[in-house]
Amino acid sequence: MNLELLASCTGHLCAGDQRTSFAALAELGTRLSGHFQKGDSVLLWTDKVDQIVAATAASLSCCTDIYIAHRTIPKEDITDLLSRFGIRWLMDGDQVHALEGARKTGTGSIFVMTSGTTRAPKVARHKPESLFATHRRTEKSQHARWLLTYPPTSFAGLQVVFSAVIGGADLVVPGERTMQSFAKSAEQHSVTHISGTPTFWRAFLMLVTPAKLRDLQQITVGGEAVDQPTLDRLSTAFPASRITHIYASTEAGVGFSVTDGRAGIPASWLETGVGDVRLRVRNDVLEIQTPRMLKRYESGEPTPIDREGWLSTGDLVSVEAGRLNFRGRSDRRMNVGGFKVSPEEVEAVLLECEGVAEVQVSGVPSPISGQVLAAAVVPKPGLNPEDVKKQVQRLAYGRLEPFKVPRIVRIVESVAVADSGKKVR
Amino acid sequence: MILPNHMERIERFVNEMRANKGLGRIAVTESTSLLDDHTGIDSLDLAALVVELQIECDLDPFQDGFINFNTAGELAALFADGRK
Repeated sequence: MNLELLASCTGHLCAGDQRTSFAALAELGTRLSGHFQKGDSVLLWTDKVDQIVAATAASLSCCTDIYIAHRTIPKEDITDLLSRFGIRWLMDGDQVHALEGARKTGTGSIFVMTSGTTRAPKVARHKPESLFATHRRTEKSQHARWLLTYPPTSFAGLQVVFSAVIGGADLVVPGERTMQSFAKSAEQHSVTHISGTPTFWRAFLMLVTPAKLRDLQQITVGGEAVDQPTLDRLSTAFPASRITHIYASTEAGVGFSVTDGRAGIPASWLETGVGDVRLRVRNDVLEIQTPRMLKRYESGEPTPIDREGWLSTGDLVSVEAGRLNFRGRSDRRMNVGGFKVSPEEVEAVLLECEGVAEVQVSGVPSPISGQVLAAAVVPKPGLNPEDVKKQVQRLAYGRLEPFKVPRIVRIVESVAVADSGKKVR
Repeated sequence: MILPNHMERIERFVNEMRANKGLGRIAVTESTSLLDDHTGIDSLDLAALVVELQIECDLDPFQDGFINFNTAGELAALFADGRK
């Protein structure tokens, strides 16, 4: 990715009501590159896709490091990042400010922040090759229209943005980041590619008319443990689309994609590995060994790697019928009467319920059992909530071990979803 | 003092739990032992019942530690005492 490539891009950015060609953004990029010099670094504080694309192309053309920070990161954190990393330029929206005390350490890397809603953001360095290597322009990719569901500054969001830019495709960015707006934009632009979390897809399925998305070729699901009921709902609604689910770990520097329609990944990978990636399970948690593992965040936090070089992903897994299934995060397990339960594994079963659009399982503190499971259930539109509640209870008692049965079931209108598209837990 | 509506709540809840397990209705009185086989509820149901009572009554009788109870009447009394 550089300015020359950007200037030759054939696709368009459709942000809200505005339609701009990506090639036209090369002009803004060229203006920015007038500031940047080799070894510099720039922090881009924005949520605008045009600024991200232009500034990234400019910084990579100049061998300048670029730190991409969302507008939701507070000013104090930005000020702290600027001084800690000796950053030369602050791009505050479209305003470029030169800063004192900068260090000349830039090498043309891209720095992505984790969403730091409660604590200071963690910063991970990516080489442009690792972010962009798999994207290329083909005859077919130029006719694609992508919908951006992720925040544009996130790793997943940047992947979508630059897939579209490099592929010569159009990128649709709804004016508002609401489910209604995603659904409306997808239909209006008749998008061909959508990548989102399972939580995103379940909400999306409630709002769209599949017949209005006849051009949808590629459905990608990732970012949270992908469950079978959601994959099944997608293939029923969009029988002609290719459905890919992804397991990715930024810390491990890996991303696996599976297209056979079954949740999880092949368990045989535990024996054979995948390319230079080795996998093993310890205490029900997936561990990974690769040459690309992130040893430490740029912001200083170490990653959980043991002495033999295995990185703990923190993802709970179990092996059934030749499949390695993801069961949720190990740090989110709840203690119910002395048994460990992860909310995701219970949700994956309750989603099998015909009448359930969405469900969130949580632990309520109990003086008797430590925690007791509660399920907040969103019924599909038009159904009688009491009937759905009974369906859920019947299914839970029939399918789950007693300690995994949510003894409290409440009907709710919606569950809380973070901007990343993941459920708030 | 045990309020009648606490007993009603407990009876309603016990019967909801029984219905989930395909069991028929029973009458719950102050002397009904809650963890008896007769009621058909287990310790997690009881935990959920306590949570429901805590929410409905906006009271937490266990905030200073666990208090033993056995019968429906003893549980109702904990919430009637009003240790907010």
